[in-house]
Amino acid sequence: MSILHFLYEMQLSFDSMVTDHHFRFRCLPMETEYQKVRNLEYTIEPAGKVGERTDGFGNRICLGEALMPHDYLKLQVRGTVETRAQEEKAREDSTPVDCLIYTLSSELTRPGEKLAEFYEECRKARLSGPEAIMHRLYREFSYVPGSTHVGTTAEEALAGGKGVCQDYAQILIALCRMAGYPARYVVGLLPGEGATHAWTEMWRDGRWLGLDPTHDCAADERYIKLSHGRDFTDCSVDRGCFKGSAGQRQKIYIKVEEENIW
Amino acid sequence: MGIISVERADHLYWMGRYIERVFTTLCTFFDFYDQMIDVDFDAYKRYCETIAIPDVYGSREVFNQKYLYDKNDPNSVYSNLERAYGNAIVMRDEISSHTLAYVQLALDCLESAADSKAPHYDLQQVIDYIHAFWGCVDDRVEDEEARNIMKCGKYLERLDLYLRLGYPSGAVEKEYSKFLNRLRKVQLNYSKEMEDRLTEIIGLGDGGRARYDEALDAIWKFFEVS
Amino acid sequence: MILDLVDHKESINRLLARYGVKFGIYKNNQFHEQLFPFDPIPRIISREEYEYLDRGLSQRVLALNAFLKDVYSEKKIVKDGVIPADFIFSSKGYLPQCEGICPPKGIYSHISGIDLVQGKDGCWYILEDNLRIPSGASYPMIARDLTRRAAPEAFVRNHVADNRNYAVMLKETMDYVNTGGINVVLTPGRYNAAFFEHSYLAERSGAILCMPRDLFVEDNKLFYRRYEGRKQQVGAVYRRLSDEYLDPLCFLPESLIGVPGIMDVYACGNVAVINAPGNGVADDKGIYYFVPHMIKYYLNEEPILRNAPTYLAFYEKDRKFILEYLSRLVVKDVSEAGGYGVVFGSNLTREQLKALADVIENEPRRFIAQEVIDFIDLDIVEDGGPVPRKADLRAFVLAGETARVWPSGLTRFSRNPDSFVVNSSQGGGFKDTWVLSR
Repeated sequence: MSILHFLYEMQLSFDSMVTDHHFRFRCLPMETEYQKVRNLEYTIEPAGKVGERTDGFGNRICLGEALMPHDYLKLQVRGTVETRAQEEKAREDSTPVDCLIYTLSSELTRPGEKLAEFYEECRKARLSGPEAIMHRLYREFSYVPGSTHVGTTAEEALAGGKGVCQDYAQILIALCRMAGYPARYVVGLLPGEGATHAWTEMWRDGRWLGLDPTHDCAADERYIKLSHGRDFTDCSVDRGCFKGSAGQRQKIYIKVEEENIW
Repeated sequence: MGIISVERADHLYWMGRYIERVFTTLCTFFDFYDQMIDVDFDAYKRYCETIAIPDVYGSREVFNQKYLYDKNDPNSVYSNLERAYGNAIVMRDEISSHTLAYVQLALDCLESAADSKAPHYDLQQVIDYIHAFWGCVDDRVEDEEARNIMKCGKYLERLDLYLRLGYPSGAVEKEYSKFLNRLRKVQLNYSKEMEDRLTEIIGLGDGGRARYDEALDAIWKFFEVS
Repeated sequence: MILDLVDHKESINRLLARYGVKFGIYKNNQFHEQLFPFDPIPRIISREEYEYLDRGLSQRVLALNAFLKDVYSEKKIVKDGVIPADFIFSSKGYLPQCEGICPPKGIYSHISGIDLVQGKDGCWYILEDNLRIPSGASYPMIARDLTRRAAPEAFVRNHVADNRNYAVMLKETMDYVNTGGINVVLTPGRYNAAFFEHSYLAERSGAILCMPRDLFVEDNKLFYRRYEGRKQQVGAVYRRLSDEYLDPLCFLPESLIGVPGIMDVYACGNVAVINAPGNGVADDKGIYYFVPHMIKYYLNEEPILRNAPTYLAFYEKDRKFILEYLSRLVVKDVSEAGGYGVVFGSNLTREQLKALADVIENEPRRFIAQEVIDFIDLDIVEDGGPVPRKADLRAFVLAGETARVWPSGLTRFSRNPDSFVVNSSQGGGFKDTWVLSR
């Protein structure tokens, strides 16, 4: 078991005033089998929150609006979650209907030639299961920030041979789906300071298993899960629209600390 | 019905203005047309200057055709009627299908007049349809506020044209008072400063004529409130 | 008596022009408005036949509504193996954003447009369900207004159910789900193909016609902004723009005609959206095959109305049949909308048939095949006299407390004698549909 304290700060700065700003944040930790939210508080400046709801994938969304003229928007989320490691042992092997949406390819994970080729090589090498595929991906793909963008597809990233956690996760999702496993995209936080992280969950033996292809390991109790979906698009941390023709800059600060519980 | 947004208030106001522009310019066109028969062949030049549109016509024959019917001439009667139609068609639910039909009829009529052997009969019909339109507005537009916004547009446009066309100051005063009467009944945002200026100039009667440019400027800025 | 109407063909069409009864089409990226030609000979449906259609169509719409509710919540129909999951999750009309949302009063398809044809055997067949934003009711409605004026005798003698009650039915449908506030008809704007209908239905039903900019969200409620600054809460939106443009915060972020936040207001039960977003999953060509199964599954009833005989390439047995009889079937690509992706086997050469068979074998999920129905012709008035044309019927079913079939419908006919295409954008016209009241 592990206790994690986290802080998520995001600031949007506009270079001129904007109004009628509506925004949706998906950055509140989920309640899952392996993760309990102990406490959570958040503030939004210059406006208060309007409400909260759960989206179609089960993610918590914070709904907000800032209607009066403003030139920045600041979100601060603080909380503590209690996590535990995923179970190793298999369960009853049936796939619930809700998982089936994660067997179909989505816009950013649709396989093309490169993915088909990569998958074929895995098959020839008799790689057993997603973990082995992940190891191979980890060896053959390079972590190079700035080499891709949020709209880069798994196929494009694989063809380029480099990318960031989003690309690792989406490539692994595509490969898992090709191998017949339901697989989904996960956004969350890791101990330390930095940005949000992304990894993959795949359905096997009656439960979801988290795999982090960027670090070539299982997503264990150090991982705080914020949201999941078919690919990056379903998990966008913030979405908003406003009136005004302002340029905007986004600054994110994240800090996660493990509590020493011994 | 009866609940009007900014955008819809805008459509009502401009519908009123453009319908009126078509009406008064058509009536005036007949006067100038008459003069061009044997008094002044080039009267249309004066006409263009008076209502402040560029003279792109070059001859009275071209003017008679293009000014009335040319879809590509932004100042033609047709173009103005089409703008009225554009503002009316989105307001069917407010003004009723019956009222909207008169704008449609006027437009179809003007279009067929272009190829007609007796265009003056068709043009008279356009004028008739506009009379019917306003009659229908009074009977069929249930919401008083909507009617008043349309008429604010109508009388302000008429005032603008009367000032330009040099109508007698008595007629100008009459139209201005009709406008104010409607303005008091709606909650449109307008400039008090421009109202005062207009009241002052028009109040001078014929003595205000020298300041008509200033008055036209006030009309231009009347609803331009930031 | 109907001859009275025939004599008035021209005058009725002139009146339709006067009232701007048009539809818009885009040609070379330019918007044109076209008159929708009206043929005065009505399609006549007897009272008994209407009662039969009413039962059959209401049943179908109740089952489709039950299906939509199930798909976006428990998915029992999939768990019970009636419909393969693939047909739901890979449908373009399935929107995961709508998962878990229960619309006011649990109604998804408030206004359903069901397309039918009558075969030469006299039997009615369902061709297609339209559960998103079916259009067309306004045309027979206004035509009736004018034909009654033109030829009153025809109506004195033939007891025809008055179809102008559509406005009342529409208002009742909106009022029934209204969460508190005014009713509005939300149009994408005057350059939409069905703009006439949007404005006419707003006028007739007493709803406010509004453009997206007139609406805004505040405090998770939907409001209409009045010109003098006050705001008015909106309780029901009859929206005539498609799902993907509805809310840039939920669907296409680049949509400029949406209302930011409206989906959350709707998800929280603070406004009714007519019809519900996500309905596309139920009027998909692949799902069509399963509608009779749905009726049995949800209502425990036998389907009253038939589908055109349909084969699903997804099932091996059906696929074999399709490949064997390809030359007499019509093949439809389920991912294409409207008349696109429809191929008549009889029009293909031997090579083309072979190519089509290969595609079907490679991607069976993509195709359905149907028997070509030889449907009856209706007479239309041409210069000399009556000539036959193919015609279909779009029936409108309004769902509130119960489902009711509007006692009329839009009858569309093809322009050319040998054409089966009755689409208005292909130059066809429309007829009034009379339901006899005795």
